Amino acid sequence: MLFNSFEYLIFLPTVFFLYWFVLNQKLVAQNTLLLAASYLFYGWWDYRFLGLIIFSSFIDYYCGLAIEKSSSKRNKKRWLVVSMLVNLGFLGAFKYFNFFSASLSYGLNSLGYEVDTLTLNIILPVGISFYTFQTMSYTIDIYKEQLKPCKDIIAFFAFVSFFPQLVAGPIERATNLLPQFYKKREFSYKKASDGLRQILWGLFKKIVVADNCAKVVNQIFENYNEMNSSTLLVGAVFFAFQIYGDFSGYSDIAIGTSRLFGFNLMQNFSFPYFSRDIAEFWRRWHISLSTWFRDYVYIPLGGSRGGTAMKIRNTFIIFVVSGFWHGANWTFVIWGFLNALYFLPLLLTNKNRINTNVVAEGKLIFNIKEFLQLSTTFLLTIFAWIFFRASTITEAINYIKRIFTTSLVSLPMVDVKPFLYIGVLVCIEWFQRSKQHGLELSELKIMPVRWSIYIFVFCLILFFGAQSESFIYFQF
Amino acid sequence: MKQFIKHSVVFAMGVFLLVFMGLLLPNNNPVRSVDYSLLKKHELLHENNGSKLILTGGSNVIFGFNSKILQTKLNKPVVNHAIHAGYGLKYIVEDVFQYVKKGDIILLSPEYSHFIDNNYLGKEPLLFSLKVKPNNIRLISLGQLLNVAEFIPKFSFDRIKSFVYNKLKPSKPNKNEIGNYTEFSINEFGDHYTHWDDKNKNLTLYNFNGEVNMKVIEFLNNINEEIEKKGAQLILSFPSICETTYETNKNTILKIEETLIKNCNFKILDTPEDYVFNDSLFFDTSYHLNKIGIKNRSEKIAFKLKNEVK
Repeated sequence: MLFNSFEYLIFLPTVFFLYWFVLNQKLVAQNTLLLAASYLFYGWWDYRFLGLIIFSSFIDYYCGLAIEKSSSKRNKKRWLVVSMLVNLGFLGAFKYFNFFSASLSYGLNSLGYEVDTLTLNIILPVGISFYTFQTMSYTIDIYKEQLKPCKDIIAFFAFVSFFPQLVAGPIERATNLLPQFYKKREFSYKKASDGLRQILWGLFKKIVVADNCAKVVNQIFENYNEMNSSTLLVGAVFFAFQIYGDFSGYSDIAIGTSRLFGFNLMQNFSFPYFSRDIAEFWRRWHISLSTWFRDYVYIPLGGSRGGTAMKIRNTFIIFVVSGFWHGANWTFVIWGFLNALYFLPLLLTNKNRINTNVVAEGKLIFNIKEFLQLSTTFLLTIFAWIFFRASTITEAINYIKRIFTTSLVSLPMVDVKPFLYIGVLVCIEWFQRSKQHGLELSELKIMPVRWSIYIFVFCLILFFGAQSESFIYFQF
Repeated sequence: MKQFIKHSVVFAMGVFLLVFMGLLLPNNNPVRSVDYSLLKKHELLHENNGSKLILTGGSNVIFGFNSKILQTKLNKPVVNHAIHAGYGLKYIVEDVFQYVKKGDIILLSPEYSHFIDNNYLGKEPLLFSLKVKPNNIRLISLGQLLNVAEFIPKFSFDRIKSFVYNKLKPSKPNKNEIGNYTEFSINEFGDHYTHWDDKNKNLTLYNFNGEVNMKVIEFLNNINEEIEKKGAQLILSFPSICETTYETNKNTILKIEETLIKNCNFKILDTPEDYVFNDSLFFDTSYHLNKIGIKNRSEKIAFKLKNEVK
């Protein structure tokens, strides 16, 4: 079920009503409802893959208990390995098997050994990369004794499959989300109304910005050989906003929906295009994934504690793995590699944490230095996005080549109307950049003004929303 | 909680009112779409009292026949009732059924997608059809309403957008240039004819995914009984389709044919292969024939119908 679908429009108020008005007396009833609703939400897409989530939840639930019960470190480790193998095994089989198989046979064939490619004819279950990472964090945290295992099976299964963030994050930590399933949730007007505002903002980003950009981006990337430089640049810029609108829009709807049910999810995007360097960008983009990799990969590898060589190695590992997480394609690996290259100079000169505050804080507009920093970071980012969007590395290279070999002094050959929507997005987010989301208006006390803003955004969605497209991050 | 519900309801009511207003707004477009030709088609069906051949289906029919050829060869009046496949097969057939008289032959040529999933209940264009002929609301079942419900907000806001745009930027239509897909693009039989001398455009190709819906066959069998009660006859004919789309969807099309042959209580005139034409004979979509394609199909079908028309 898509957030921007008619089914969801029926589904959400129904679950909300049952949750707060019918089953509000008992915690277990609320958790059971959330579990059933989550399975319905997921099964709407393909009920066959429900078995996968149930199996994965069961394994992690059991492993969590077994880790705690085990008296020796060795046994604890054994159960952790079981959990890792199952989760990574699913990911490997469904997402990466064909890629590795094709790459291996390509490699062997180029060495002169004739090998046929063995491929599995399977569909990638929606959201598998998200929920497996979430459950892995659970068993790892128990192993590290940072979390007690959950003994309430309903609460645990509801935590794994919590529908707002099940298919595209934020990838929640068990330490943050799971305890919220143990306590009875109380309705908060402030939280719920802000949740609705965040949903509205997420819908704007998705339907107006991302979907309108998507139409032009698809046209450009599918015919890039016939496009001039300015069009290709427009394509790259539009893709930067398409993926931002799509993914952060999804996160906003997920976080907003959770707040309607009394839950707090972590912030996943914090206005990343207002970053002054790549390090800041990565503190603001897909925060739940980058902190996951930081905590469960980078730090265990030694982080930046060792020598320069170790710092470089760990940086490349984390970025390349993060790229690979997005999909089984070398284009994602290159995207991760490029980001590591951008990040490395900052790390080696100890400048990776100089921009930790909000840009132009307390000021209406940025100064020239900040403008140059913002522009440079954005240009570096869109350059990397070309690899992310292209189907192959060759396509990405040819795309970039054409930007520099055809005339820049020419008008774009495509509809540039999405710049208007991007303009609205950038303006609103600029003024809200120190807040949690673009429509956080709780400080605005004049109700008619607040409502006028809601109606304005709502009308933008209705009148300028494009044909709904599926969310990009579903494929990851 | 009370305050939250109150505010949410106020907002939802506002949206509801806006949607409702959009549905009620008149169409102020200076050039009305081909959907409005339904009114003329109803007149043709109403005026024609003797037994006649009624062609119906989706746009494969309105863009697929030269009724004059059929009328000449079969020596029987012809009315082309078809407009848009998106109205859904149920609506199309029930709409024409209102005008069926004794001795009529209804040649029904549904698009293949009508047999898949719930498409026979209609999509967004069905809402437009109701804008054209509000009286036809009585033909709409709950199932159809639920099937198109998701399109209502978008339909309504598109109407508001169009209304405001035409108010702000009024334009006068050029009477010498009728253009395609307009109310006046049909000839005296109801065929879309303004594209006959136009060059072919890039073809829109289709992919029919989904399961064959047995409810469609059941519906057709039931309506056939009603048609027979009126002393008329229902004949099913397969649509013309371009080679590329046919090859892509061959398995589905053959499955549809097999299901129809097994389960239909009325005559099936031909096979899907009979109307698989080269892509060059199509105007703009996999179903819309150009002038040569139309001639081929009309002559072919006139020949096949000869035995039925006495």
